[in-house]
Amino acid sequence: MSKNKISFGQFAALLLISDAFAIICMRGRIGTPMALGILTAAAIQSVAAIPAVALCRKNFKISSSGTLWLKSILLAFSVMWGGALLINVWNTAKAIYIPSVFDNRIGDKLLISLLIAAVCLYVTSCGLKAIARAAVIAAGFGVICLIVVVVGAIGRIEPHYLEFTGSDSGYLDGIIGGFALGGSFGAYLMLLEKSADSVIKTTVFYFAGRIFFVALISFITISVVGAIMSITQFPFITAAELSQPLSSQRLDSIFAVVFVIFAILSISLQGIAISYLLKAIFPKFDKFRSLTSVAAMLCAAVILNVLAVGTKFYGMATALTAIAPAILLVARRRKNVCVK
Amino acid sequence: MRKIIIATIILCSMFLTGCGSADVYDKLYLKTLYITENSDCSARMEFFGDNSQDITAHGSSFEKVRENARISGGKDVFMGHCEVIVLDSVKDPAKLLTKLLNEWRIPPSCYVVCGKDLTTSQYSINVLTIKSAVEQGKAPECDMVTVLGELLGDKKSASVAEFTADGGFRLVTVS
Repeated sequence: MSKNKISFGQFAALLLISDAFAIICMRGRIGTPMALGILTAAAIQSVAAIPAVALCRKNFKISSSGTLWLKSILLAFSVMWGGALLINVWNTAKAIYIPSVFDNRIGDKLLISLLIAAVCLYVTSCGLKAIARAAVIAAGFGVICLIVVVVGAIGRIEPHYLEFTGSDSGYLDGIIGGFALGGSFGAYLMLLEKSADSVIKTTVFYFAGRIFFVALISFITISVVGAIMSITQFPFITAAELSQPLSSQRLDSIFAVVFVIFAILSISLQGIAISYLLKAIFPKFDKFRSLTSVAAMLCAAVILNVLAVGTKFYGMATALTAIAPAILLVARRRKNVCVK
Repeated sequence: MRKIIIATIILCSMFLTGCGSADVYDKLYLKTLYITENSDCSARMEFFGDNSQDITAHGSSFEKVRENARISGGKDVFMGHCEVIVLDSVKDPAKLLTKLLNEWRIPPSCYVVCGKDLTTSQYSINVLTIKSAVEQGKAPECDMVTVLGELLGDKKSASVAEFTADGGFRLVTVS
């Protein structure tokens, strides 16, 4: 494998971890129409990936051949999504029940969030190969947790909650929500050129895995949590809490560890994407790119939190980023036609 | 030199694991919670441990009740292992159970039953009694999620077991 290239398995593991983390942190009710909307958004993003695949097959690399506007859009989007992930860590901490270390003398959530940011800084500085290898191992643990949840959910599934009712959130809300959960698409566009295997194989493997995961976790969540969905703040976390296969031992501590690992890898992935884009836009910017990435994401998190940006903003931002490759492909083809 | 610095930082981070920051005796682990809600709120808490004593606390709200229980017991009350919740004259069971589930972190598998004047008595409900009644079909499924789901559902009511201080048992409907 070439230097700084990753296999399709590592590629998929990295992005699926980021998607899984976003879904775990999702707040609010979810019903069948919304779940179908989220799946539709994932399918739309997979179609939006086709121009990116076509560009990559023509040896088009965003880092070297990409226009300044494309790099700038991806940079802004990656910073925004990294900030959104940090906000997810902040908001979801109370649901994960991380015990106090300093007996509340220091803000526990603040300390834990800063520790996570510090670890992300280190992981980002290690580079793509290191995080890709770690992602495969973390994804393995994630799959084990998913199997445990599925096994535990078997006795608690109530299919009648999957039926359409008048009180469910709409299908269109689900599509916007699905785009809002698909922020790793920016990293996908950036890292596609780093794939050592066929870009078609890499893309199909990733999006197929994503659609399967979303479908499975949505099915379990709606059918297990359906009875108390109206009072649940984090439906996917509640589904994991209710799906405990062993009555004698709660698995929340394992889920908490997996949650933190997924958070670190997701944020670090954005940090690496930002580092690459900073290098592409400012070739002389060599040192402290990781530090700049993490600092930018922290600033974005503070700004987005203060502005109380909602799902629609993230959804629109992801949707606009998704059409960027298509615009670029059309522009290049027109240019080629003009040249001829 | 760089390896020594990194190794030192990693070793120091072990102090952040929280392993030595708390002892099991620093907390009271709630076993059974008896709740009454009239003009004000009161609760009797049973704890795990052979030498533990019940705590009865009163307050204008359940937050006050929990705080007063903490003051009475001298320790923080950990609710993550609670086995039984006994509703003894509660105005809005759905609202109370939602608060217990989301804010007090009562486990979803905790049983919910009703009680008659049990908050002020010394009668202790054994979780094995409830489990046995459910297994024998004498009582309906009454874990927190099932009861709350029925209260939040179309019927807005749930069928649960009711215990009395003289050891009596019957089925009642809460709403």
